[in-house]
Amino acid sequence: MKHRSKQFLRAIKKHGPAYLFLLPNFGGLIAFTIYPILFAFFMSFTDWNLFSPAQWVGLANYKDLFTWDPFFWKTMGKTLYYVVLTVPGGIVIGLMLALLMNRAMRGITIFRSAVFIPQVMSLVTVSVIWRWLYNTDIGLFNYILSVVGLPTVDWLTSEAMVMPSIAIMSIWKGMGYNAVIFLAGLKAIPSVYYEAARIDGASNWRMFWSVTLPLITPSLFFIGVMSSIGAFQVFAEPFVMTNGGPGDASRVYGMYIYQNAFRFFDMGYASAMSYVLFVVILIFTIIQLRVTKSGGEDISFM
Amino acid sequence: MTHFNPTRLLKKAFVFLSMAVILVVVLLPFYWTVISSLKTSGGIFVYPPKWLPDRWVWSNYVDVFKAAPFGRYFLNTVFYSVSVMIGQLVSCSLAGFAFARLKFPGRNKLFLLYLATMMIPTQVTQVPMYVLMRNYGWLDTWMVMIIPGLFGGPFGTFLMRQFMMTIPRDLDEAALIDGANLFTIYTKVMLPLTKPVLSVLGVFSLMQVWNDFMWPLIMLSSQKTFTLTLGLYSFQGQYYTDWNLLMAAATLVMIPVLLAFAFAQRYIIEGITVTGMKG
Repeated sequence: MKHRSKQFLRAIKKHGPAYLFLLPNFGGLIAFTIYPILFAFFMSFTDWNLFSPAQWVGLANYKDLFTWDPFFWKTMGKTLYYVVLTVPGGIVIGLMLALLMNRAMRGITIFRSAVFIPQVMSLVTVSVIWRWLYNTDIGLFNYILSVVGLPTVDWLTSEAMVMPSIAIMSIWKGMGYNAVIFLAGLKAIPSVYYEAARIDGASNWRMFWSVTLPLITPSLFFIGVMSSIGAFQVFAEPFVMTNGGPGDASRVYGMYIYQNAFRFFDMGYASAMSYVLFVVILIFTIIQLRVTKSGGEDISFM
Repeated sequence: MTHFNPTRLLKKAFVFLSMAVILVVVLLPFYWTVISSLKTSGGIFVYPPKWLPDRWVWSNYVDVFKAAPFGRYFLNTVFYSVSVMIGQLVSCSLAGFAFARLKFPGRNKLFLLYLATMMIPTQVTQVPMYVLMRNYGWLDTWMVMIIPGLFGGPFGTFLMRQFMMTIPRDLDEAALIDGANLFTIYTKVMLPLTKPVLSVLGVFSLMQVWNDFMWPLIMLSSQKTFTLTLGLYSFQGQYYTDWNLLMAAATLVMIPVLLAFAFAQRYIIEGITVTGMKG
């Protein structure tokens, strides 16, 4: 027994400093991330409105979500639609932009910074601005359309257009970020590959598909995963621009969680919803990992 | 080799043209915001809209300040974001040092735990955090905006650790032989060498608190604690179609971010390149 405690003391003396260095950060992680995650998991099995004691309901919240709540499928569908609109669109536009920026040219860094500006703005600012640009009667976009003789669009006021309109804004906001990441990937490709391909007589188009694209798979994977994780959690854009309207056309899953938690104070139900979102994101990430891996290139994510 | 090569010239023209179009697409919304913010409340509804205001109504900005305490929002936002930034720099660099340099039981498992928490969507923690903050009595105070962020997140620790791993060990071993203790090595050897990544992390955490919307929306309820983004959102609620005032408020919120970006753009873009590729 005495030997044991001596060993323990020695271990403390040896490793104590390491734990001291970790303490503030790890303490914060436990108190404000890990504990809440576990707490939410527990809450998701209860019926609790904050004002009366929580009631244990087992799996009832999850059962309600899948079998009873029509808004669960509706808002999840809207969110998936948003993911499908923004992630591939963001990747294609970001990559095109990076290809355009991948050249030695005077003023190219200024161009790069300018394209990046929307990314550093807050979502609220950008959403407020774009609500004005999208205005059906006197907004800038419809004015430009009418000047060039095209029919005007009910950007935020028609059920069919509202999600695409929000997606266009998101792609606009994020394209500088995507381009900068793709640019780093492009710059890392050794020029010998291109030289070899050119000697073999490959066209630019061919080189893009057989050299560039396979070699930037890590960037592709990174942007694919990160932007889908972000897109599944979309909240501020529809919340600020349309508050979910017209009707429920832009009510996304993140908004529905918010409403359940902070409007109806249905904390248990909202926690169950957030855990379902977590699982959906996890599955989506694993699928992307599989797809990119089968694309040939090994991913060194860390 | 000819001096005049039509396909090359055509290609160059195409590149310039596309860049010009992209610049217009990126910058036009901001131009339109500023121009709209200077129009009269009648002029804003004139159709077709004018590319420059007839009369430059600078008093719109005075009206915005009269309608909502944007000065207060600004000071609050500075206070919250700078405090969180300092806390994050300290705690993330301390923890990053432990992960990069010190050997202790459970290090790798703990690091995996850090990585795993980065995958969790914010919604999962926000609902329980609201309950906790409510129980602590921190709702609608500066504490809810600063204390949870003060200890730094897994991302900052990850960033610091990755960078510190690239610093040659000879330096701290030499200091150790000279009799320096771990804390001296951290402050005198590591911190000076990690300045570039400290600035990246500083800018990132500043931007994150500055631009965050959902957290203050949930946690704050009175104007005296609002941040700029939340203030702008609540301003939109009151002046939903007073477009000139709304755009003036949006411009006010934009200006500090634009100024900061002008100074810090190198760190932001390089930081994203580094974290994007290595993270």
